Amino acid sequence: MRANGGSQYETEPSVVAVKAFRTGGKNVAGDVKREVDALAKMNQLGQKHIVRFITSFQRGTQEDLEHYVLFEWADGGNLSDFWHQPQTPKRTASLVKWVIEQLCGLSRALRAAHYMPNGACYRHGDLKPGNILWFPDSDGYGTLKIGDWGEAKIHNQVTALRHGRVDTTAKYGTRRYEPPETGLHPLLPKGTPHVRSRLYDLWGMGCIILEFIIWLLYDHEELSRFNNSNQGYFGPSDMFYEISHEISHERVVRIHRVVEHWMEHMAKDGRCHSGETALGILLQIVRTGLLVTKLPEDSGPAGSADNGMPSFPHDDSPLISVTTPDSTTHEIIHDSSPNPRTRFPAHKLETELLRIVQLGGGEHYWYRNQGPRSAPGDIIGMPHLPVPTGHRAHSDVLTTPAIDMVDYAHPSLDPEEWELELDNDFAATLSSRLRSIMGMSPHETPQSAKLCTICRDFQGRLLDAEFAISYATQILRINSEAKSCDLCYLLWQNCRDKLDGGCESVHLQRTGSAIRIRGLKHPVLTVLRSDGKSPL
Amino acid sequence: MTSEDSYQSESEADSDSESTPLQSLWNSLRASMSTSMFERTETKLFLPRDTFEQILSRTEGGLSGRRKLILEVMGIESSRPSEDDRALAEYILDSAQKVFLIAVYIQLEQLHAAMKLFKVSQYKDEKLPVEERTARELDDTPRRHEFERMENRQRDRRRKDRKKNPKRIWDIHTISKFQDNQWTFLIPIISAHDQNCNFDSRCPIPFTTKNAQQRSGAHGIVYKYTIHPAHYKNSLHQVIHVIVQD
Repeated sequence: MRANGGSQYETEPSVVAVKAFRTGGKNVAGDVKREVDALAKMNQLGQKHIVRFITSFQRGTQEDLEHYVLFEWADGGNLSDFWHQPQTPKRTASLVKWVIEQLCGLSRALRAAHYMPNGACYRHGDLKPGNILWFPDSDGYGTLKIGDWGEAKIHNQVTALRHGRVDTTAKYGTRRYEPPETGLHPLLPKGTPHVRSRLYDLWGMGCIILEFIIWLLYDHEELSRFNNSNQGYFGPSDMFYEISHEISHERVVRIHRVVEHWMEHMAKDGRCHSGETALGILLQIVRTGLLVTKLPEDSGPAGSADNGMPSFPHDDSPLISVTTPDSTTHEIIHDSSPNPRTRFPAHKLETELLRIVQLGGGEHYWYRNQGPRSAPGDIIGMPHLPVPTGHRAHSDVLTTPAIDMVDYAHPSLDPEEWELELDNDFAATLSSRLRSIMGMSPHETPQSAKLCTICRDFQGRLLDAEFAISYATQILRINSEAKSCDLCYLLWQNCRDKLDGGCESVHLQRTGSAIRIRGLKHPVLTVLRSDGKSPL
Repeated sequence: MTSEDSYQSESEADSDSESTPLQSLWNSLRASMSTSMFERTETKLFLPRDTFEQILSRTEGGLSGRRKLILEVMGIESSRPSEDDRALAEYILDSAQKVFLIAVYIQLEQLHAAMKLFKVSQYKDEKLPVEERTARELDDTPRRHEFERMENRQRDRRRKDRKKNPKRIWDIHTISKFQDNQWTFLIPIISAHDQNCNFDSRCPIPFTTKNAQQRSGAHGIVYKYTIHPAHYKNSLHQVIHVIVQD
């Protein structure tokens, strides 16, 4: 497509990203308006590292309006795409310098949003690699920009629509980069306002920068290993922090031990020497100023006075210092040291990153090519993991009832009364998540499963809405233990607790989408479909 | 497809040499149509807004050449057009280009009479889209369609003409065709200056390519589209500059 000469219209590139809002949610129009207002404000900042919002439009009737927002299109995708590009850039001084400059630009953009000229403050609220967009250019690595502004205002809506038609992929993605103060919120008394501070974004920046360092030092495979190494361990956390029980009445909030383990390991790498190399200083910033659980007591004016930053005391009250009248015997313990560090505000991060650039010396400062050093080993399964910082102090202001941070246990209901609901969207989301963990692209067909003869019969009949099939219990168990048949393994994992001790065979029946053990009400497996878009 | 690329292929040019100006213009319009690739208006045709300007720009003789083309399309061959016809051509060029093109596109039989009627009734592009009625509503005599009312008023004024030419311009068929095809010519401009415009759901959105790439976000899906350059105004940088200056 090209513009015609002599016409009155403009000939700027006309490739755009069009975000189609999902319809049917509560107050979509209000959400869209808030986002569009925020995007317009971001445009006014004129920041190179913020994705440019073009316009918005709606179509349809008042009862069924569709909303669309247009942005400049990021040809490279997002930061994850940058990290996973097929031709991974060679690790050089110029690459590291570019990374630092981009991080500088991103923090400058963040500072501009946090301290807007008119005195307002705007937080992103959902910083993650997926929201850092990559605009490649022909003569360099390109430009990274913060996209998807406006999420913060409607973040709660996403949760509310969890069981609706909303794609939950982002929610999963988002949770990983959430700061500890979010995880603490459920521990606070009912009704405590969910205040999201500007420092929320700084935690996200810390996560992003740490991942960038891992990618620079190792590669995207090691980054994927890092990203999956703390899922499901040490409690229900795949975030960069953990909240755990130390002793019966205490909860400890700290950097996740896996994250700490990686940072410790990298700090010993010659390419990452603190004070000597750009990456070393960068890692130090992450450790001392970003992935820091403690928030400044008064991060608004006090933290910014020296820098001439405006005062915004209204929203930076650290969640951890909320005093509750409801005192009980249970306390949250906040990971801290004798001289507790607090999380940097955006302008401090910008200053620190600029310092790296200004300190810039020779090639050796930017990158020491000393051959690849191995990434940290897995620490899962180590019987006694060290507690990273070892300094704990009681918060003298916050007491909370002893409730679990996230309670995944089933409520005390009669299982016979439960209603089962099919949710192909949830399955698709979970599948996508698992694919990501396995390093598979969205449309890649999974490797064929190993199947025994009976399971191949099972597979062949899977398209029948109703069928029955039987397994010898012993064969199911042996195939599962030997992992010689993937489906036997799956079935055994799901059936073994439900079988009577002496039962010699397992009779399975498919009715509709459910596969049940004969005689039991609840399915052991549910068949879901993928609408042909991508294989489940 | 841009109008420049497809306005006249060689074979069309050959056939145009034998066709009437009306047929030639119709062929050009047809060849200049783009297809909307927007997910909700996919496959709908639209005429890029600069098409007619390009056609007119090829005429020789400036304004008189343009007037001549318009009149020839309406079947007025005279090299010395009447004052009324000159005024009619100027009215079309100035304020009723879309009305004229829709009438041409739907192959309205009494094009000249129809345009005269529009002129007398001061019906201009700015009044589009014409209010849509269902076939049943169009049959409802007491609630005549706007075009029918226009024609009735004119026929009441000029009873002689009515006897001379009993055939009506606007009936259920011609109105339906006009209603159905008008959206092809009423394509919005996507502009950084006009936020939150409300587009009619019948109106094709001028996105000409849709990339298979899409990204899923918290609140929706992001698609990659190309906007037809004639329907895209994006001088945001200047706006930013002004705001910063303030």
